[in-house]
Amino acid sequence: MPLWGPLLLPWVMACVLAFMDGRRAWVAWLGIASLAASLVCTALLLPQAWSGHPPEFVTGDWPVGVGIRLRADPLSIVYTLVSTAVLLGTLVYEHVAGGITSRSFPSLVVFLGAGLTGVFFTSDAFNFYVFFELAMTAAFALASYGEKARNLRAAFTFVVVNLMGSTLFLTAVVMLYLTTGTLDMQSIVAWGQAGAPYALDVPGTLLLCAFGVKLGFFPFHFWAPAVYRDAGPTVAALLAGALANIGSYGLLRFGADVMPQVLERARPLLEILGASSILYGSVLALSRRDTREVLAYASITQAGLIIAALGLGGREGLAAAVALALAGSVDKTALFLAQDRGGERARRAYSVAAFSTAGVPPTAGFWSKAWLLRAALERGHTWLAGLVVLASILSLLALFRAYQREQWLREGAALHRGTGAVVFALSLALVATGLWPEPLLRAGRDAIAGLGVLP
Amino acid sequence: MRSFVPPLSRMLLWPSLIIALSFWLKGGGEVGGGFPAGALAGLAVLLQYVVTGREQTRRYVVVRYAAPLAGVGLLLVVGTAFLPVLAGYTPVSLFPRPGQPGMGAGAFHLHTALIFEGGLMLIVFGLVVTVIDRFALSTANQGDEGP
Repeated sequence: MPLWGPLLLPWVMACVLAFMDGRRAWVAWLGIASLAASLVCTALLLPQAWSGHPPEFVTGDWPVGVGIRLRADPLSIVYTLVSTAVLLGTLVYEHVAGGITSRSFPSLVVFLGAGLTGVFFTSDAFNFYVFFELAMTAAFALASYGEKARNLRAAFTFVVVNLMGSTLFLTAVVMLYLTTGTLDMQSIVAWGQAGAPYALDVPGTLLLCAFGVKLGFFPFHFWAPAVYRDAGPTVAALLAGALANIGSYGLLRFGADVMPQVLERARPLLEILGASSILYGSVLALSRRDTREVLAYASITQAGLIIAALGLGGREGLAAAVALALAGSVDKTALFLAQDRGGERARRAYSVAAFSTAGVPPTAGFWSKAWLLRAALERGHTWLAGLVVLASILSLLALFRAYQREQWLREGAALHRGTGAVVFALSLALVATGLWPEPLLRAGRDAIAGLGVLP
Repeated sequence: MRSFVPPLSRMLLWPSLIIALSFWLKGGGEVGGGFPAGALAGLAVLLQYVVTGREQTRRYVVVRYAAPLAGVGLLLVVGTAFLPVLAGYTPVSLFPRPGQPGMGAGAFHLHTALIFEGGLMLIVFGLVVTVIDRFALSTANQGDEGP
């Protein structure tokens, strides 16, 4: 499979879908089929990406620096696979849950997929911004889906905050170009190794803020509770499960791959930010009564864990960050979709996802947290290990208090066979990964091994 | 007393659109390109919306068909990016190939990058105008329902 396959397919299909009425069943199925096909195309790239010579091409056959380099190393591939799978599940859920109410919904979800794939595959700082904006534009339009007053309020908050994030990111890209004279990531790596160790600190800080807004860790979290509460459940699942991946991917790509020296110096800061997000998210999740707000604060805790893992540094810490991000993405999607419904199936799925978020075995979340614990203990950060355990207990309490409240409230609107299948598949993936964690652990380790320069 | 603003804004529309087109055409080698061209054209339409209102502005064909224009732009961008793949080139290859004789006169050259930029211009213009139109529509409705 050539590298442009998974890039081309969602683009073309999203364009075609844009001209059709997404409320019709067959159009929705066409959108689902396109996402499924791009998932398959990405999966076909797996052997090449793991082969030591990741597939890459430069647009228009120009020399690097003029043309844009696109590249699919293991980190890109695992992020693309998980994000596309989450988008696919959410689109299926929305369609079988009772029909799509907006004509552009399938097209926008596929556009979001195209943007995310581009972000994960690009090896050029400005092109990263272009695809990032494509994904964000689709997300802005999606955020108002439902078109009730509360949905529009969520969309407005989301758009304003994320436009600020985009401005920070664009400023950082411009500074990178003016400092290093190139936008190609591998050329920036070479420039960074050559000398001037402090020159990239300011763009690095701006990037941390920009991705902080996307990922939503403390103190950049302020938009998350309001948006996740007021957006529709499907949209919240899309934003928390797929779009937030840009934040963790960006931090890993720019931090660990492009500017490892800056990441090394930022480690104390990252540890503080991570620890405060973990504490803040866990405590506030306990204090909330609305389930979606509880989930939003739980996602702030998750983001804090990723940041703390980045702050630990070293291969083990970074690999734990990848595993946490991937497992967290599926957790959040399953939680947001399951909490929308009542009934036996939804309760079971919610419990599994809640166990995974809290890190109870045998779930995917357990292994990613265990990895973080091991990395923390190996590096002698006992306090961080303690904080992780505390966060797990508090998350478990908060999520099951919400579960208790919801269980009494909801009698009707059970998951039927179709929606149940989606949520069931997500929770099955979590348990299966918990029982056989080798793929997750290997994905994390190899993704980091592919990043090149690391201490 | 009649304000001079509406006639003035109408007079500004066509020059703005022509400057936008020139931005597009000279984007290859100089300051300009599809994105600023689309943004400028969108701003010119925004001025019309603010000054003369939705009904008057929608008399222009380009404004009524802004959303399909964005779709056409999208197809142009995707087409120029990925059609070379069918002929065995890498995506976003430039035609005529560098070194081959090009078409055009003086500083103006016809090549696929121009089509790509044109598509980008249509996307930006279409999106900007569609968003403005949505806002204009919702504020007009609120005006009707208001106290």
